[in-house]
Amino acid sequence: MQIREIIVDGFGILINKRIKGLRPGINVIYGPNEFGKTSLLEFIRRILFGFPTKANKKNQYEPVNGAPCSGQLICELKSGEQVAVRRIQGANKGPVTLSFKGKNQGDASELDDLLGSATREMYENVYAFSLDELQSMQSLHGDEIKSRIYGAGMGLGTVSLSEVEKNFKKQCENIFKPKGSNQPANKLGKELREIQKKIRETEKETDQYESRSTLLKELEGKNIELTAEIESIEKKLRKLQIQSELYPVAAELIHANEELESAPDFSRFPEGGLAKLETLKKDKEAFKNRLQEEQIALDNLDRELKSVSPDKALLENKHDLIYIQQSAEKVRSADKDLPSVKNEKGSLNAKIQDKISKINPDWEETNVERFQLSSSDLSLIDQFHESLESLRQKSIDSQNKLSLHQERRDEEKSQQGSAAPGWLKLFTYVLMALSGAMAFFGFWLANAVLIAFAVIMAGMGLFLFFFTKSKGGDFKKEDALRKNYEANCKANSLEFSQKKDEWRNWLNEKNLSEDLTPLKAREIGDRADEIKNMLSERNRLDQRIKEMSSTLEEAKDKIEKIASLIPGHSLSANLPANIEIFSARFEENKAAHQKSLLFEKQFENQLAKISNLKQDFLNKESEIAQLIESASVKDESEFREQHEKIEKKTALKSKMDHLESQIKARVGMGDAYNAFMETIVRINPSDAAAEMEQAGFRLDELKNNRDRLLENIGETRQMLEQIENSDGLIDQRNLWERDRQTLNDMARDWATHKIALYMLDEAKAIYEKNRQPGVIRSAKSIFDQITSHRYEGIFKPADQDDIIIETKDGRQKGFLKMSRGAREQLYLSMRLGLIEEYETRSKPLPIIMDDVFVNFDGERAREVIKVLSDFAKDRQVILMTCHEWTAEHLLSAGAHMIELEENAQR
Amino acid sequence: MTAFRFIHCSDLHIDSPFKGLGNIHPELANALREATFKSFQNIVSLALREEVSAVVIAGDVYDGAEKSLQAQFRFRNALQNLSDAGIEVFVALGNHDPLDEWSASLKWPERVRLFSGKEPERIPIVRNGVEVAQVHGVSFPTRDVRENLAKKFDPGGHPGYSIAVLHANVGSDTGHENYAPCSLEDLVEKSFDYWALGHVHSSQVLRENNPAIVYSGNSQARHSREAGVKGCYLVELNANSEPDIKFIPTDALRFNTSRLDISSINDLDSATDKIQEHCEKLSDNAGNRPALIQLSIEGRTALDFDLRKPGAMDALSEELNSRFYLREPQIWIDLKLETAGVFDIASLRKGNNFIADLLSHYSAVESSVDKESIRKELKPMFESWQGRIFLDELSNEELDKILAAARELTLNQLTPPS
Repeated sequence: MQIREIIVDGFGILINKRIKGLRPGINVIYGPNEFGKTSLLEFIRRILFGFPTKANKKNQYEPVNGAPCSGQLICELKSGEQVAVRRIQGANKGPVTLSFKGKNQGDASELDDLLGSATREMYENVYAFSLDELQSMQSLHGDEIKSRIYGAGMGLGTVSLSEVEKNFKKQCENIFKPKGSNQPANKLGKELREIQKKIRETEKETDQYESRSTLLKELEGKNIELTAEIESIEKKLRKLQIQSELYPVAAELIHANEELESAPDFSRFPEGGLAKLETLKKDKEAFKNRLQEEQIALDNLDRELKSVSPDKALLENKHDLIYIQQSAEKVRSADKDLPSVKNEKGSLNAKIQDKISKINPDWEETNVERFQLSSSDLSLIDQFHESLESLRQKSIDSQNKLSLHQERRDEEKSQQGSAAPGWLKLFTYVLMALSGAMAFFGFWLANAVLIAFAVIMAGMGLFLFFFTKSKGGDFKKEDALRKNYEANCKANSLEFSQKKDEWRNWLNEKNLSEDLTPLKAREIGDRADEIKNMLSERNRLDQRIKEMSSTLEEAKDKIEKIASLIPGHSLSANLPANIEIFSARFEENKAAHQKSLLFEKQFENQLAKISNLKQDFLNKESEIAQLIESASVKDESEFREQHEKIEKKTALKSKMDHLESQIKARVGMGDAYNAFMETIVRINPSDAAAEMEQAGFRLDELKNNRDRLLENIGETRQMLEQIENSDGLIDQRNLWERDRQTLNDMARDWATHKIALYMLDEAKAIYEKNRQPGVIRSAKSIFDQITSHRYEGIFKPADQDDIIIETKDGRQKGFLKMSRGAREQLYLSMRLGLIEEYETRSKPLPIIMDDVFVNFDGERAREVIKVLSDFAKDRQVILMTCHEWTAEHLLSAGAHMIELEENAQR
Repeated sequence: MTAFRFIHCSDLHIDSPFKGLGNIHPELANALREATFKSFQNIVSLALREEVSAVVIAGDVYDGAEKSLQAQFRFRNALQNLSDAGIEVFVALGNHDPLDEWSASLKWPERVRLFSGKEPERIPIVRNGVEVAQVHGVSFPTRDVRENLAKKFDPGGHPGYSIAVLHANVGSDTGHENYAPCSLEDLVEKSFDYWALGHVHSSQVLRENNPAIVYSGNSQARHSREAGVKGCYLVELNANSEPDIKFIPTDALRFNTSRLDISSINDLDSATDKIQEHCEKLSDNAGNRPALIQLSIEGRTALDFDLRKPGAMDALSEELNSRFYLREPQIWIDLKLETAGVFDIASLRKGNNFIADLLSHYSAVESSVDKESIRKELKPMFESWQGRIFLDELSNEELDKILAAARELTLNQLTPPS
């Protein structure tokens, strides 16, 4: 792609600029200082690769007219086709449009195709650069450019050799460091030493197995011997122990035996003699005691019998006494109530007389008793009451009606003449006449409707006529009604007086006052009944008074009779008190009598009991005498002595049995017992004790020895078992083998990386000597030309991003040691070399340089121009300069001159 | 004469650790530790199940450099079961377990016979008063026996079957130390029915008949060089026919080594699946015993780049082991990475750049004789470090391998897959 025309709408100081006629080969844009070379260079870069964002610190080249940056490049493609690339400042590098001549439009992606794989970085630094950029070290140090320069000839693509080396080195160090301690291989080495040590220790332990086995056997033999000795001493000690323990027992047994043998014979003494004797004596004593007790009881009975003496006279009159005792209550109440009953009767009588006189002052009690209202009388009274009441009411009603009628008549008379109005009568007559006329015409015209109307109207007329007539009729009836009311009044009062006469007659019959109303008569009936009740109550009280009086009389007679029987007894006035006194006396006498009968009976019984007891006592005495006689002793005390002796002998025998069984339990029965008894007789206890003590000491000693021995055996056996069962050695060996293998694997891994690293190093040296990257090679030929082969060569160390120049005398100069001119020439050469290398695989792009020759001396500049002429044969190179000299030289080298047009026509 | 059945085994190495397995799962470590003993228990079970008349053990019961007491006791205790079942046991000791290293305090079960170390002994086996067989044998009195013991054997003219038991190196064979060396002819000369040999760890029948000469091999593989099926021989001697010699696997854990090409595979999941499938097939061949598979994955694959990242192989192993964890029988896997990247070394070498220089330098070093420059680089670890004593010496062969690995590693890093 080559540029044919540059059209700037606005970009910094460039406003509406247009540069036409750009051709293939070298183009020189010549203009005075400040004409905008740098802006133009930047304009081309930005149209092709976009505007920076506002946030970017780069110069925005804002147009002086304030519009956004914009413009276009008219380019020609290799095919000869023309395309306008237009871009306006904006978001995302600024929108770009491509217009192919007479054809379609395109956008950013089409532009990318046109630019090939060139990036902005690449273009800015290699294709389009100013003097400042040429001098800047940085401009050739972008990642991409670096890899272009340095990687191009190594065949490594984007791989960084130093990165690979660093990686290998890191891998090595991650496995092992000669003086390290934390790397896995170093750690494992240490671990293996420890395992080795452990294995040796375990093996040493194992070596002891044989000697320990032998030791165990010896110890076990010793244990058997020792155990046998201990057993024999223990047996001896046991024997001595028994002897010493049983010695006193045996001695006692022998002594008891001797004693028993010397005791006399008591075979004739009755069996259980003493017990029998004691029983008999106890019985005898009991009888004696009871005799004494019973005698005392008899004496007591006798005394009590004598103390009891009942009154005979009273007992003989016991029937009267019982009678008054029974009626005592009755007498007491009669005595107490009589006065009050009498008083009650008096007041009742007065009440009766009063009530009778209230009915009728002439009446006696007999009148009342005789007066009786039967149920029929009562109903008759009711009938009289009702009929009299109704008749009276009737008579009053008719009287009322009559007077009412009189009042109404008086009233009507005052209102006469207002009954029927005159206009109504007139209307009736008109109606009648009209109906007649209609009837006439109806019949005359034989019109049924008219006739019907006539009939209806006649009807209505008739009705009205009679209506007005009847209103006047009421007043005509008046006199008949009044007569009627008067007649009724008379009849009713007659009936009432008749009934009243009937009632008076009935009252006379009953001997009652004529003035009484039926209701009053009925009340008198009731009152008479009440008086009758009171009369019967008075009769009852009379009866009671009579009974009480007789009771008191009878009681008084009896008391007096009894009092006469008791000498010296004076009666008091109070009858009930006398009764009480006599009753009490009588009761006392009765009890005393009963008691004396009982005592007599008991006394007889007691006498019989005492005689029996006396006989029993004598019997016991004779039994005792017989018992003592049977033991052939003379009295009781001898009997007792003999018994004691027998007891002693029996105790001795049982003691011997006990001692014997004690010995047998320890030494055994039969022969063993006999043998023991024979030995024990001959033993000296103090010698035996000494012998026992000695054996005891020996036993303790032996046992202690054995305990120690057993402990020793246990330990040895445990150790042996531990060795037998331990997997420790096998474990350790496995671990050792495994770790060793791991270490070997690591070592080989380490070796691989180490050797890889070493070989890289070696290969690098070879490469640096024998080969250089293509860029450097291209650059070198250009540099040689520019510098007229002043230097032997340029090369790049394989592991450094630097360029070294080798002078003819073999000295190597690094970048920083070169002169400014030489450095610029080198960099120009490098850029051209880079473009050559780049364009072996990519489409050519226009190359733009902004006054880059100013620091070159004349000769060098001429050489550079020559080089450029060659370089631009198949390319487009646009050189911008404000130096006339440069422009002239370029022109003479065949460059195409373009002068900047101002205010270009659009 | 009725047939006589017995089991021939040797080289139990009961206490020996597994070699060549670093960084393993603790559960596996446990299984490995018990494997040799379990394998012997399997032989005991086989003997009881088959009701054989005798078990013949041709030396190297244990492995320990020093006396291995625990192994001795474990061995003795296992023999008790055989003795209790009326099975005769004959043990001729070898270079790993010579007579002078057995504990004197060990009490052997009734029917267990250890051959003496002086002269070959003859021990008859009597059934119902008839001598049905005789077993001849001699033990190593000490570790280092260099004389030809076979020559000392004398079958004699006894009736019944005759079996000779010996720990010896037959022929100038075999990668094994030349203890009690003898030739095949030495053995054929003696008119035994069966030579029960120990010492060589791979099972092999050197001669089928007249006499049968057999190495039972060891009963449990313990490192990659022993990989494969291990067991004992169940032998039936007949008067009128050839001996019936049947190999019975008894290994408690099948130790397999295998290689798997994953060059056609470009993603990790498929690779994992393929490895799983491969291992399961191997496990199926091992019957119902757990299998430990040392698997080298190889071939050119784009996966090489990822697999060589630090920790990548550990992650893959972990994934596989977790897939196998609940499987019955269990599979344990020990992966070795021997893949290469997909880069074309030949064309890289032809290039005109740094990589070409690097490759040609590798070729130059690989073809050099002493590789002294390389060894010098490794000095810090292999020569001056304290822990070097635990490292196996690097053979030239191994060094070549490391060099190749370094080259792969470097190429892998310099030409990453795009």
